[in-house]
Amino acid sequence: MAQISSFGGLQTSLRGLLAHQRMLDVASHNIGNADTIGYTRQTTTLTAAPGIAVNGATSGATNWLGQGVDVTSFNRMRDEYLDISSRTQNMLLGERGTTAEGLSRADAAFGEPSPQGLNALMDKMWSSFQTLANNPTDTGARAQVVSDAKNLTDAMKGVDARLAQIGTDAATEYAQLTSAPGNKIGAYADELAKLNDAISEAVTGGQQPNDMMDRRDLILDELAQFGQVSVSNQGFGRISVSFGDASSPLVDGSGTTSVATWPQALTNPGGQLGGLIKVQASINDYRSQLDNVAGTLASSVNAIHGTPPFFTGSTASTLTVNVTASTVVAGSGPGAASNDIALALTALRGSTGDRAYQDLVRQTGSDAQNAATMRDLSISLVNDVEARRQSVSGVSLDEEMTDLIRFQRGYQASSRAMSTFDEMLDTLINRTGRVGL
Amino acid sequence: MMSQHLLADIRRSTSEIARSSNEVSSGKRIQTAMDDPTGAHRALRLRAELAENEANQSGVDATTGWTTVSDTALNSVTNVIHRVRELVIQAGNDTLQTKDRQAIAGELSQLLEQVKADANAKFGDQYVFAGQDSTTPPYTPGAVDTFGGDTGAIVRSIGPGQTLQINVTGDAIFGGTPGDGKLLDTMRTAITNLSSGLPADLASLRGPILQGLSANLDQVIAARSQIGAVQNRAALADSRIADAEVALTEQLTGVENVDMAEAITRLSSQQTAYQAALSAGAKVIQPSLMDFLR
Repeated sequence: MAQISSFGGLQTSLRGLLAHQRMLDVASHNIGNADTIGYTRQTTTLTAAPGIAVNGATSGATNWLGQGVDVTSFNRMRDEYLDISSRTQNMLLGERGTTAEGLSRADAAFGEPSPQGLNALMDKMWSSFQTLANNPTDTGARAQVVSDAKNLTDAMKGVDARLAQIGTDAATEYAQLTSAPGNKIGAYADELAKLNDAISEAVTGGQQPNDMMDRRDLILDELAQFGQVSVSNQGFGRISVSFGDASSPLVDGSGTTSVATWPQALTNPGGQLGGLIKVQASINDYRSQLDNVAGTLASSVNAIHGTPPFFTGSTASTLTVNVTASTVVAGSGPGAASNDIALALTALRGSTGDRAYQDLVRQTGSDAQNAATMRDLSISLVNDVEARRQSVSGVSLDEEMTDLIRFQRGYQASSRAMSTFDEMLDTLINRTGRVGL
Repeated sequence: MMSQHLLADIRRSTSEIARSSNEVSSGKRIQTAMDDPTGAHRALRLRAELAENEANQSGVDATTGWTTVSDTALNSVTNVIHRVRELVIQAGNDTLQTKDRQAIAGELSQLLEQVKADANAKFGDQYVFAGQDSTTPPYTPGAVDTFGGDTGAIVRSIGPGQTLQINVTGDAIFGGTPGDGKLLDTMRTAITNLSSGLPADLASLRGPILQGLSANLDQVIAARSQIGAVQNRAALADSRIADAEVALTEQLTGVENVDMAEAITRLSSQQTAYQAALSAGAKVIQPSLMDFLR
């Protein structure tokens, strides 16, 4: 049976004072970090201190007297499920956003339908063949054929160059992100490995390094925009991180020292990097289709035109007009008005080459449109999951204000309890035994 | 959290408004193919068809011009043949004096030059009766009547897959070799016979030469009806092209252009929604618990 100290109550109220002070500290930390990116709201976990056994004065039964409150931990308010869905959605948004941007640039490179587009220029060339057929003796009509054909080949080179530029930009950005000196992914990997070790050290030492864990989660969030991130817990605060479809883990936390492995080859990593790879593949596809249009055009026109060949080159970038106004052939006959060749060339209008180009425009347009739709969908999904995540981890100033008031009142009440004990002890120490004095 | 939602909504509203106002100000529903890939594809096809239609119009115009020149020339030749007939009938009369016959021969020579001039009719820089050798005059003025052109066909395209021979060649109508019985030969013989004044020659004026002239007139008429048929086809093609132009333009407008009433209504309702979001946001974001705590 334990005897209770008369001063025990003072200790109990002191614990209350200190606990409320800690809670005020945490609320103030939360308010201070309300706008810090990646900050997780912290809460204080309180538990009642273990009671001590007290025997009833007459019954002798054992009762337990509370000893006040204990601060057991400061917790980060996180929901791991929401973390994972947030990273997944951000990864998808990164991929779709990048794809949509690249493909809409490709769509704009064609710039159809427009009076200056390749379709209109092909139409113009066919029309000028028809004008030549109508006026086979007119040198002006020949010059017109040559200049319209040159406009077409120039424009085709232009479209091809713009497409190539989009592909190059995507490749450059990919290299900047992954392999250039000081690249982002590598920097993230290094920092993750360092944080992993620091956190593990702190956790093993019995600490709770909330702010380092926030930083590590923030990096994982950032990393998720660039590619698929999956995290596995290795115990003692360590994690291993796989990235995209890289063969080795980006950060291996299974050993005593975390190891970052970067750069690695990726084929379908998702995220912005995946988007950049997809953009390059689409651009290559578009360019080979445009080459096919140019090749079809060259071979069909040359087959009819005979010698000299009307076009040289068979790709969009090499297609060149090979004839001059004086070497354009309008007809096979000896007469000046012979126009059978010009008529046959006119009849090529709307044939395979034209149709292949029109189909290509439809494909680029619908690819870009789909990508934009998927991106918009992703934006709303990300907003949604971020909102849910914020409602768990974000700092609500209203809530913190309410807490501040609550904790302040608690502090005041604890100090009132302390003065009550003080007065009680005053009575005991200074007034007792003075009867008759 | 609320402010993020609000921002996302406002951002979406502004991008919708930007799109609608772009449509209204440009009048185009399809800026690039991604706005409506199928529509854009259709627009490209329609534009190609319009361009083809326009080019065929130029073929029709060239045909009309060429045949009009040919027909005018042949009309003049028809009149010449009628006059030649009159003169030949007059000259066949035994009572005529030699000098009268010579006068008639002189007029016939003039008429023969007139026929050659008509046979050298040009459309632009091309001789219409010269076949494909259209830059060489088919006949030269003077005593030689050789045909300088060839028998090649002049072909024009007046519609998809529709080509049409638009010329008749001079050698079929006017001839080019002595003794071929064509118009120039008949007239040349008539002049020679008249000049000789021999009874047999004069007799031939009344017989074979008159018959020859009738046959020559038939040849000219046949050529004119051939040209008339070409003109009819060109006129048909012309009206078909005009109809197609209206129809294609209408379809293209339907595919490419904005329905203004719809677009403006949409724009104004988007603006209303945007303003509502702004004013609701302004009311909700501002107050906080701190305004009410003392």
